[in-house]
Amino acid sequence: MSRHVDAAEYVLGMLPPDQLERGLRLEHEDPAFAREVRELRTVMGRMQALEPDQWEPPAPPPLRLDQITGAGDPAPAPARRSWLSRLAPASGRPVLRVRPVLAAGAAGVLLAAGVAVGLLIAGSPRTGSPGRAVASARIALAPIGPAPSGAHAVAVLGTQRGVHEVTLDVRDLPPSAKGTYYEVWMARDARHMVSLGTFDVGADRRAHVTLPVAVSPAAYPIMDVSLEPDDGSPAHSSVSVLRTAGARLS
Amino acid sequence: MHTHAIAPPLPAPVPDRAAPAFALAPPREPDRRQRRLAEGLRARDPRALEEIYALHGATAFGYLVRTLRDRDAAEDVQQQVFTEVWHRGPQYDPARAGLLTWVMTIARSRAIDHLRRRVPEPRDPHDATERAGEAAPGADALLDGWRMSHYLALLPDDERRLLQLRFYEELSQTEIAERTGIALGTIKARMVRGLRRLRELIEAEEGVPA
Repeated sequence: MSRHVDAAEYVLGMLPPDQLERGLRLEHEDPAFAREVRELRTVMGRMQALEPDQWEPPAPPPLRLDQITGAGDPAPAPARRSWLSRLAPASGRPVLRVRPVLAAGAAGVLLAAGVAVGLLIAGSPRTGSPGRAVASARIALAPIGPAPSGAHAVAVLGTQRGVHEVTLDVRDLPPSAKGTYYEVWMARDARHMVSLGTFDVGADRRAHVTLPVAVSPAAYPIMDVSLEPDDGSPAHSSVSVLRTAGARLS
Repeated sequence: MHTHAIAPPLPAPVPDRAAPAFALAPPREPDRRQRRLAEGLRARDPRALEEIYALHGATAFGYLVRTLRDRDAAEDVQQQVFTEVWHRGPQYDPARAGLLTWVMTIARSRAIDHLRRRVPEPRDPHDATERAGEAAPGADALLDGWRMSHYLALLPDDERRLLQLRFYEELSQTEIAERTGIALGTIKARMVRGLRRLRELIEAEEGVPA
């Protein structure tokens, strides 16, 4: 069937009466025309549903390109927050809980050679700003104990404005049950462990937390994640669910 | 060291939050610009990120301002979104999703993360999860609206303005002609052209728009 009717003019109500009648007939008799009309009406419907700000979007802030691309090794992490805000709840609700006895002997120890943690502190190649972490150590954590076999995490140790911190990206851990939480530890052995903080895992089975590191990763090279009951005890529960791949606490 | 055993609860798995809740047809075929930008991200070329920001920054930001209802927070999350675009850029495959869809999926995830964090302490972790889920209803429609906003922004100003007068202010063509002083024939031609162009843009990004 010869159409001679513009589908866009038809849906926009621009046709004179004789062509409108032809359009109505085509819509019922010509599948291609009907499909085009349906698609154009969908577009019109989406326009009609728009809110004022969607017609006139707000101007976005400038792109802080140097902060994004000068951040060093790619990691699926959101932008760093301020030092104080890192102590506040984040996506995984980290809470600083340094164990005083264990931390005392380790606090203040500086990075040392001979361990698998190497921090390269240098100025940004784009900005030249001093004291910025442009490379950091990545530690893979594997499941142990009751953790599902697919559970895993990547810890990135770095330095931000002279402060050591670890960013932990956890995947496939069971969501935190009521009365429990997960806790991050750095350990030398089973008797020397320091808590870095706690976090919850949501229904997405993921957590992404950044925690300050009050001890030297060189002195406490093993990272461990435990499942803790909310019983007020500051000690490790002995139920580890993730640990530095291949490491043993003895 | 104090030791005690507890029975670790292991609830049943739930769907991965990272998976977008909305389903879109794959784009018909990534256009040359999307392929070039994807290659730029893979090559770690900051110019690619700048161009993506110029293309999609306003749309993502508009979505975040509306979703978070807090411009300062939206600026923070906006930075997170494009940081993630940069970091995940090497994995972006334009054959699987249009660039806009990919960026907005990241924006949606980061917005939900932000809303989840906003739940005041102390809180029950289960409540927090449920509250974060409350952001979902309507979220897909909101994303859809912002995608449409992006397509409109790609139209020439004169076409977009006329469509706005017709579909937002709900003026008739005659009223538009009176308001703008543009000849009726010109108005019709521009609106037809704009509508067709929108359909093509949607099809290129999302597949068939119906």
